[in-house]
Amino acid sequence: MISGNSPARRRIAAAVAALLAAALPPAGAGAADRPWGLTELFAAFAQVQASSARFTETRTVSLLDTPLESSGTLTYRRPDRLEKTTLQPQQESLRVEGDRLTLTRADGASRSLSVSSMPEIQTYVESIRATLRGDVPTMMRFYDVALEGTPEGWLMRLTPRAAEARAMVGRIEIAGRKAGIGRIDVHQADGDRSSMTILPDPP
Amino acid sequence: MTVAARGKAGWWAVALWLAGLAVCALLVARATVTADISAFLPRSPSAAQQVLVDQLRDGVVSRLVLVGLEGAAPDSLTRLSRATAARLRGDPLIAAVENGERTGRGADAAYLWTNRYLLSPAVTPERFTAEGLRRALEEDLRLLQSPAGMFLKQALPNDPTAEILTLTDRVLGEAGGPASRDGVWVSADGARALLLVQTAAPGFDIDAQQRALALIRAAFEEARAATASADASTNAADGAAGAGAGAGTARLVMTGPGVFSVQTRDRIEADATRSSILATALVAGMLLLVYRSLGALALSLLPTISGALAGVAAVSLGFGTVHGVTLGFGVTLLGETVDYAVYLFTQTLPGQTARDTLRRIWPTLLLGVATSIVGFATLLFSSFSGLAQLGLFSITGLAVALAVTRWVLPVLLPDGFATQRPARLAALLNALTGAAPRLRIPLALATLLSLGWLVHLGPTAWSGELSSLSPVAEADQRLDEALRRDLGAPDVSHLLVIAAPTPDGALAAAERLATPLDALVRQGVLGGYDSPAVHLPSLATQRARQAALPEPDRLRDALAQASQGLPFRPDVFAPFLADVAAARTMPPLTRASLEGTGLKLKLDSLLVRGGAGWTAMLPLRGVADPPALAARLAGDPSARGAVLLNLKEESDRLYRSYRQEALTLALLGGLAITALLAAALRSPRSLVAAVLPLAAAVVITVALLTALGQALSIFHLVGLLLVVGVGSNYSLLFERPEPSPPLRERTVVSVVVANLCAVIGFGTLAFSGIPVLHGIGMTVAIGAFLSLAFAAVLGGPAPVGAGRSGHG
Repeated sequence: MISGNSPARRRIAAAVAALLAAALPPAGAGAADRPWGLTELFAAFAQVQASSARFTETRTVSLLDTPLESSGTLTYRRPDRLEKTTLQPQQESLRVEGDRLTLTRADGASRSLSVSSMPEIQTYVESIRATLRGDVPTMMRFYDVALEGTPEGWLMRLTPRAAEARAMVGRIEIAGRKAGIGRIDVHQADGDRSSMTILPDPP
Repeated sequence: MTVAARGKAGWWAVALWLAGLAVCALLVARATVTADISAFLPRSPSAAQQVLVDQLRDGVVSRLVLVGLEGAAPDSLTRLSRATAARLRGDPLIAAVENGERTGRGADAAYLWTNRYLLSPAVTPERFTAEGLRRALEEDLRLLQSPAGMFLKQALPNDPTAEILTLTDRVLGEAGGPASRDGVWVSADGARALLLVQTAAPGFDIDAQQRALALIRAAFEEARAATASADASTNAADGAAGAGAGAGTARLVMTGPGVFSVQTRDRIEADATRSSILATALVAGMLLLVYRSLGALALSLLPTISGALAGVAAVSLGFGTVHGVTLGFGVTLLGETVDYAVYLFTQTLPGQTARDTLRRIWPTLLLGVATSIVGFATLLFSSFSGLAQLGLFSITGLAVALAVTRWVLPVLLPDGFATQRPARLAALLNALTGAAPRLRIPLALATLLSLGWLVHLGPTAWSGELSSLSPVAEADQRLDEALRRDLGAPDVSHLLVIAAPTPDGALAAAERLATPLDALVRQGVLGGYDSPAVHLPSLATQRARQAALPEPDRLRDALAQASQGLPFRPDVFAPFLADVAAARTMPPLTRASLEGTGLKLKLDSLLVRGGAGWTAMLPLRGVADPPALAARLAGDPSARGAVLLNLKEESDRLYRSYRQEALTLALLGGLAITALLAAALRSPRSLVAAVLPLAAAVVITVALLTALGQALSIFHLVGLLLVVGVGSNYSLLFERPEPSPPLRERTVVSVVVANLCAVIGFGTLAFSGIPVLHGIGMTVAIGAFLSLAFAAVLGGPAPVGAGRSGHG
């Protein structure tokens, strides 16, 4: 899970709030006043300056008999740097910083491209990056967003708005708890899918 | 009897004149006007420079229109970009529209995909053996596992050896093009959407360029109207979320060689028209003040009009086309040719006939015109066809204007025509000319000071860049630079050029260059390069690649062997087997195979027909040390015959060679004028008196121009030649002994009036934004005035003026 290293005081406040929430009746007046939604979820993400996590990913590819497994680390640094480092089965890194996407292989060979010049890649990148940044307008530019659940357990269904991107990615589901992502499922248009489980760094 | 006979001959002259005018008018009506900047480029440069000039004239570069959409919200701009591009695509006037959308690249991608086995340099026999395929499949597996797999896996069943990646890597290069928003090119700050339009017509076909530009403008207006109304309805539906300015406020900006040509032609026409009207009005007003007769005014303009008409007709006959700048020059002719009538009319005293006056002033007038013609004749030898046109125009115009003054005007003048003594002007001028010689010492000092200043400036007084000749205004050049930067259009400064008799030969030569160039890239001497052979390999290379592809059965066996133990589903690579089988027997690619793709444009810009054969051009990127690069290439046998061109340096060298030529021509012109004057005046003293004011005027004019911050160009040189041509008339008339004080007085008045006409004519040009018109106008306006002033200061004994100055 990607979790914030926000000040300890805020964590205590959140814990107190959670305790209070648990103490209150489920359909409390406060909840009705200010329903929890995307704005609130993203506001919580917007507090996070940097985060890191481990991941394991399973890909089902129609070309292959068996699913592909991989694992590695994820790091994010506000505002726009995101890096996915695959450690197993072979080392490879994908780094996005601003508009530049760089793929680096174990042998050092790297490939770099402008994210915005390839809408389907940009769409994919922003599903994660806009969430981590808490950037509602960017998210809404690329996706129709449906959010369900509570701060303690939410699921965001993203459907690409652009036809070009939909031809590649049919739907992305991001699940998490508070300002942390727990799972990202990508359903590709051709039936292939990948599921990434994200675990917080061991302390 | 004699009067009648003379009258008859005179009317013949008028008839001849009218017939001539009719012919000229006919020729002028049929003349084609160009504003082609290459008219101010050379006729016969070196082979390397010819490539440059050809590219400027009709190369792919000359057909580019850089389009920017700005002044609206980013989302509106990108929609507008798509809508505008969609309206332009498929129009016969437009060869291609690129705005970052995949539509244009669709054809490119299809070309690369379909022909990948002929195009990819990675196609070798080893790659299709069991071992080679095994390596490729293991790589594919790694790819599928990586984050990039999602985007690259579609191609795998057809292309397990990933030839398409090899190709797209090469084609896209490192730069990766301009920034985008929603798949459409935008400037780095997002304030502009960018399009690159290539016109079907070459850059020098200005009429076609103008139609294409009008088409782009219309497509933009339509798209804006459509997008704005769509925006309005969306906003209404969204409850007007207020996403900034809608498409309605968007503006269109365009630059590029074609845009410049059209603008320049329009501006030259506008400037020439404005200057003509202004100068005509001012000159007419002044002549009216002097003559106080409308008839005399109309007659005095006849030589000018006839001369201008004949000049344009002569240029049209001699060159096939008339350059806009030459037309603009018609105005300047007004300044000199109106002088002839001024001399004739002003010097005709009451009681004399115009014929008497003509008899008296004819030798001087003829000598004055002859000096001008000799001056302009040197322009005929210029390798700028633009300057040669100016020369022919001026010579014809002056000769015709003089002939009309000599033979037509006297016939048309009413009997007993004479002009009144312009009393107040004469008195003032007498006072001035009387006092003028006192300024001899200050003038000498000023001349010395100017010489010192010019020596101090040295070569820095000259503008060293070809762009100083460009008729494009500075603001437009800045917009052009901004759009080019936004588009990330590589600033090509170094080109490797190699020629061959056939296109295929040129491609093969370009392929041979790849070996040394690749080595240089690896060593970091070179950032990268582009080559026409990347987009279209030579025939031999294509055949070799086809031969590297195994027969279907052998390939199937090798693949089966290679996939053992890997998780690929059986038969997943059936499309690969089919594609390779097809590639083995497909007909080789030719230039025609690229038709309809954006790569065709690129190929056409890199592989051009030139002179006797074909030239392959390889733009080089990231050249850090040009001499080192040149040395390395010179020592490599595969680079034999290749020429390394530094475009900026080459074009500036080209310019400097023109300037040298113009300087030589101007000096020769000056010498020829001096020789003519020497022959005509037959007295060293008179010669010095005639030449000295001119020399002083030229020196001080140049000093003034540079002090005003002008960098001297060829156009200033031409202006100086004109100063000498016009100014020699003044000093000749001043120098001429007059039989009586009233005649002397009339001479002074006529010269001053003529001078004012010249200053007005050229002065109006000085306000033009076109460098050539501005440069010449400013130089001649200042120089002509100074010539007159200095002729008065240095002029002869001036007994009449000196005697009268006490009374004035």
